Amino acid sequence: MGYAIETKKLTKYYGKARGIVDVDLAVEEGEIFGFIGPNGAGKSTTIRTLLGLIKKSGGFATIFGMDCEKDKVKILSEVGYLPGEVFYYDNMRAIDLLRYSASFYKKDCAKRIVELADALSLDLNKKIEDMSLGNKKKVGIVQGLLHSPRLIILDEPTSGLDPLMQRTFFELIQRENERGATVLFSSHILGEVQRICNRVAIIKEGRIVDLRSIGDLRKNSYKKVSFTSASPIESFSLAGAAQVAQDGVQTSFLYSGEINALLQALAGMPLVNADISEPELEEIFLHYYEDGETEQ
Amino acid sequence: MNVFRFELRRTWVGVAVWTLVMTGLLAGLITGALPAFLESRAGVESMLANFPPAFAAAFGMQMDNLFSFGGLYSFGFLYFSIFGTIMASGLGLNLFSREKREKCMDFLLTKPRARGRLFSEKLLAALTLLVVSNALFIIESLALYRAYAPAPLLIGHALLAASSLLLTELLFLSIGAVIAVLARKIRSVSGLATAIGFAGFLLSALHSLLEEESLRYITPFQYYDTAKAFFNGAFEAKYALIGVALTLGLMAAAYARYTRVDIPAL
Repeated sequence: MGYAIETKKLTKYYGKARGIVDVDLAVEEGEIFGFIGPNGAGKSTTIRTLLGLIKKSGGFATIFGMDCEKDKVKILSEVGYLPGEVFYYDNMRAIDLLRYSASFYKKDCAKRIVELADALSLDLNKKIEDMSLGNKKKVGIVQGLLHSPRLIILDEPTSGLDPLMQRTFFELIQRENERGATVLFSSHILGEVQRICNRVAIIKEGRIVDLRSIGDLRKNSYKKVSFTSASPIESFSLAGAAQVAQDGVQTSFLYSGEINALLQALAGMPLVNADISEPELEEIFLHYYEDGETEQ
Repeated sequence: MNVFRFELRRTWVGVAVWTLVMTGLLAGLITGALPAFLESRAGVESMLANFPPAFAAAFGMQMDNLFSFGGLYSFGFLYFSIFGTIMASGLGLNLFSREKREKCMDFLLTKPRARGRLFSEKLLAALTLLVVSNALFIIESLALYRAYAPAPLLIGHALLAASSLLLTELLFLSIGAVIAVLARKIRSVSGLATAIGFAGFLLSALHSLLEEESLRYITPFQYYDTAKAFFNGAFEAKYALIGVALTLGLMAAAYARYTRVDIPAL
């Protein structure tokens, strides 16, 4: 099976300003692929290039094997897109907007609109400008899914949704995924990426810095270690430890490397208590953003 | 053609109102003012004689043929042009900046439709409205001409004169479209359109006032000279060509920009 999304050395400069540099992505069909990085790292730029909203400066990008610029129209008929902030035309009811949206696709979406609106408990007859942020967002979700797209692109999709609605939203996305849809999920909130994604690419300052499965990222690479010692330890250091934080008798760090080496090191210390656990993705993630201090 | 229908639905009322105003004014000018105006020729002439000649010129009165159907019609055209160009530039601004104003570029441009096609459907909606509006105006003009002008009737001349409004409006549609796609932000379509229409009028007044021929190159209201069309049966080719070239050139520029521009995230 081919890739749903493939980019090679995808680059975008806005004039001289860096957008993204040499982004290589390969999203397999049927997976939920996370795309994480802080604001301004280039997530939106990558997505907008894929959608043909902006023109790349270099490299190439394909969706379902088709070129993102040359075959844009064909690609877009199979893509559903939900932007972070949703705005629609003034003076339209949700149903009018959704019908207008549906009129761009060569299929009957009427039933699907009602199904999705029901699932999200969205009142279709209300004017969009009178809706709360959360309800506008729901219109956006229905709008992005009503044509049963093969690829769903979500750019910071959960802002404005309350936790209950987020759960409904994730369930919807997972159901679409089970139906066969590939999902590209961009976010700066790691918890939600962790929640539904299979693999994740981490982007920093316009470049992909890592690409792993969620399991890999959490289990195999890092342990969160913290211990209390009988007396303060002077300048703790250990190969493979990062983000070392010392506060009196408390020491904590992230560890990647041979577990025996870690235990041996710990065994030589006057320990009162020790805890080795799975780190939150959030904590691992910080590791990529330590400028220049990361030990490899 | 869903974009065409969408735009038509959202703009036809405005155009209908403008058309009603213009056809009403035209009817008032010819059925109401023309007979009275022709009767009181001596009085009007002596009154205008008290003003400097440039004054009358600035308001679009050409003294040598003012007292005739064609003269008054051409005089009125200056004012129809203001209305028509406000309507047409407003239409260009409105249609081509709609998604920008309402912040839903992402919505429209991630639909499976080439940008060129989107632009074309919007343009077609604008053209349809302007053509229908002007068809009504032209039919009315010809009917009034038959009813009020003395024989011999030169229908061809009257038709050309009446159609100068459409041609001027098309130029202003292009101006509106270019501004719509180039501007970062459009706050008020109606305010901007009114400014554009009045700028057209002021340039025209300035040209008549100063009698400086070179100014006519930048006077869009006078590219298609209604009086010349009415009395000579032809526009002045040089200026008409500038008008056509500008209309097509500006629209092409708007198209090029619309189809290529990067859409930034909000």
